[in-house]
Amino acid sequence: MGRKSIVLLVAVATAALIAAAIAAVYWQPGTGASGVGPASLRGSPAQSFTVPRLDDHMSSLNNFRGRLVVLNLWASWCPPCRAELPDLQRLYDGYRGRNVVVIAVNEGESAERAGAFARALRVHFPIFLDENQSYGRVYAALGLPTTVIINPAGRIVQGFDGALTFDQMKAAVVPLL
Amino acid sequence: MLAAACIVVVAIQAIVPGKPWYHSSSYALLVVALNALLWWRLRKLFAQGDPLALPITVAGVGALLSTVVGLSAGLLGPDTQTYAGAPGAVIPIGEPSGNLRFPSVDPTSEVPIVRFESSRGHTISVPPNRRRYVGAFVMWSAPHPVAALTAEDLHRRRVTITQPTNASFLSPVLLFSQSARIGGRMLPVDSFSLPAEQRVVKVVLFSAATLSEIRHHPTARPALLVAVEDERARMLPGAIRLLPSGERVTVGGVIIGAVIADYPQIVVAAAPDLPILLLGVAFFLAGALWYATLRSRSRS
Repeated sequence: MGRKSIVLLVAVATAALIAAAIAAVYWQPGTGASGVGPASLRGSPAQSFTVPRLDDHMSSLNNFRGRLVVLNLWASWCPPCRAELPDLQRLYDGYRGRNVVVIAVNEGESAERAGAFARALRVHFPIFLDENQSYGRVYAALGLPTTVIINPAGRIVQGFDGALTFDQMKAAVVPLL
Repeated sequence: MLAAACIVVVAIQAIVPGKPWYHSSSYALLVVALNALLWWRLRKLFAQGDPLALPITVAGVGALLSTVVGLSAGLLGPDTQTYAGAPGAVIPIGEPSGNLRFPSVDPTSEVPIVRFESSRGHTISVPPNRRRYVGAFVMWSAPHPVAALTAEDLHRRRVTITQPTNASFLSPVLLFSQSARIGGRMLPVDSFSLPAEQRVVKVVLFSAATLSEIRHHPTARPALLVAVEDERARMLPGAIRLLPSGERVTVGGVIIGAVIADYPQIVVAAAPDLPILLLGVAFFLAGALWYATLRSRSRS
C-alpha cells in the first residue's frame, strides 16, 4: 500500500469518525418534554402517600389498587370544587358497583374545615386529608380542582385541570370499564 | 504538541464543565486555530516526505475528534441551565431529552437524590457532589435553600398553601428561584398565597451568615422575613415579621411556620461527549506512541 493510499484511508476514516461524532452528539430520539399539568402524567405510575382519612382511618391510594380510581384534589375555599363534588358523588353512586372508586383529596386543610364542607355537600366517598399537600405536589396540579384517573394496575390514564361536568367524568371512566 | 494542546483544552471542558467561556467565539477560535495550525504543519511534513507525518496524522485525528465534540458542546451547545423542582415534582427537560424526578421527601430530614429518566429509558441518580455524564451533557446536584411551610388560621386550623406564580402550584415548599437586591445585598425572594384567608405572603430568605452580619452578632439559624398582604396587594398593619427556621409566628391574621433546609437544584451543562473524547484521546496516544517509537529507532 502506497503512501497516498494510506493518507486517503486516514482521511476517509477521519471523515467517518467526525460524522459519527456529530451524529452521536446531536441525535436525540423523541423528546422527554411532555408538557405541564396533570395531563402530562399520562402513563406514569400513580404515587401514593399514607394520610389520614376524614373517618379517622389512615389510608393511601395503594389501598385501592385493583380498582379504577377517580382521584380528585380539592379545597373548601375553591368555588369550582364546591360545584364539582356533588357530581363526583353521583359518579361514585352510579359506578361503585362496577369497580370504580372516587377519592377526594383535601389539600392542606384541617379535618374540621374539610369535614364541615363534606357534610354540607353530603358527600360520603373516601376523603383523604393531605395536610402536607403531598398528593398536590406530585399530581402536577396547576390549580384546583384537579382530577386524575388511575387504572386498576396503578397507572395514570388521564389528568384534568379544572372542574369536570358529570358527562365529562362519565366519558373518562366508562371506556375503561 | 499542537495535538496535545487541543486534547488538553477539550479535556478541561469535560473536567470543569459549565463555564460561559466554552460558549464564546474566543474558545471556538482557540481550538479551531490549534487544529488549523496542526494540519498546516502536517501538510508541510507530508510534502517533505517526513516519515513522522503519519503518526502525527493519527494523533491529529484524535485532536480533530476532540475539537468536534468540544465545539459541539461549546459554541454550538446550549447554555448551562439550572432546574429547581419542588419535592415530588417531575420536570420535563429538552436537552438531554427526559424528565428530572425530584424526590418526594421531607428536605428537613432526608438527603434528597434527584433522578434523571432519559427518553431512551435509562434512569440515572444524581446524588450530591457527583457529576453524571449523559451523552453530550453533564449534570450535577447543587444544594439550594428552600423553606418548608405550614400555615394556620387564628383558630389553629391548617389552611392550603398555594404558589400561583411558581411552577408547582400546590407545593408548600418555597424554592427561592429568584433574588432581589435589598439593602445592597442580593437575597433570595419568593411568595405564596393562602386563598382561604385571602392572604398573599412575600418572603425574603436570610442565611444565618447574612443575619449575623446584619445584627452584628452570631446567629445560628437562617430566617425568613415575611410580609403579609391582602388579595388587593395592600400591606396589613403589623404584618412584617422575622420568622426563624423551625418556629411559627402570628402575622397578618395567620400563623406561619417554616423550616429552612437545603434541597437540590440540578445544573445541566453541555459537555464534550465522553466516549468520543476518549476515542480522540486513544487516537492521540496511539499516534504519540508511534511517533516516539519511530524517533527512538531513527536515533539508534
